[in-house]
Amino acid sequence: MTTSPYGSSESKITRKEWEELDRFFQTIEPPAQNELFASGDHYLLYRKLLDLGFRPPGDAMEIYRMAEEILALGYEDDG
Amino acid sequence: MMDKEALLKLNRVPDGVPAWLDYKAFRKLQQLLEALAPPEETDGLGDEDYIRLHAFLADVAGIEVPETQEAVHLNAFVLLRRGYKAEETTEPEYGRLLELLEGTEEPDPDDLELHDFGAHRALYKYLSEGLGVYVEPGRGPVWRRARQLVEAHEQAKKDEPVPETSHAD
Repeated sequence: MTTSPYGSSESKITRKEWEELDRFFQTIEPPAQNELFASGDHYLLYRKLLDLGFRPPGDAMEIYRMAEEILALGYEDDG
Repeated sequence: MMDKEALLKLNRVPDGVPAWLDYKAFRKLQQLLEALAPPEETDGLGDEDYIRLHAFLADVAGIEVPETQEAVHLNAFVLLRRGYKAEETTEPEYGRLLELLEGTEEPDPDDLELHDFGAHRALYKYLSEGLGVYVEPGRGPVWRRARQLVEAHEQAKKDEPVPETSHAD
């Protein structure tokens, strides 16, 4: 069972944050198990999630999965 | 968005070199990275967690990283992406791992529960006592460790040179 990236919080990222994350996410490949050459892409995704206030694990596969989940959960309604 | 090229200039993990950390050091690195607050622009490392990780990178991983939070954070991540040096397994060991993994569900990687009986306990026992490899007692780490040993074995088999066939005239 996986826990929500939001934990117990009920608020989600804003539409603008969601769109930025989505735009970046579309540009990167899913991570391979091990990476012999640093592409920087998954690190930037990691930093993006940290900047949005998430606490992703240090594992690129999990970070990628977390980003997918955040995007799937959508954004906060503007009201 | 941060500038990727500028960021990668801070990288000190040599390109193209296969993983050299063992599993225990790899897990320690992961814990040290996850304990960090997001990096800030500071003079020097400025934080105990960053100082600890900078020392780990130098002493355990053997890489000299600039003393800034950005550099330490990036290099720790890049080194983790390199993975760890998986132990070699023999064909019977590989077969036994496959048997033990069969039918087990993939747990959450952070699932540190481990019951006294059941498939994950059997895997843990085989890994730690049968193979003598280090793994934390928890369903997540145990499952992943076993899976990665299986994958490493399969990869090693793929990488084996194909024996030349002799042609009789």
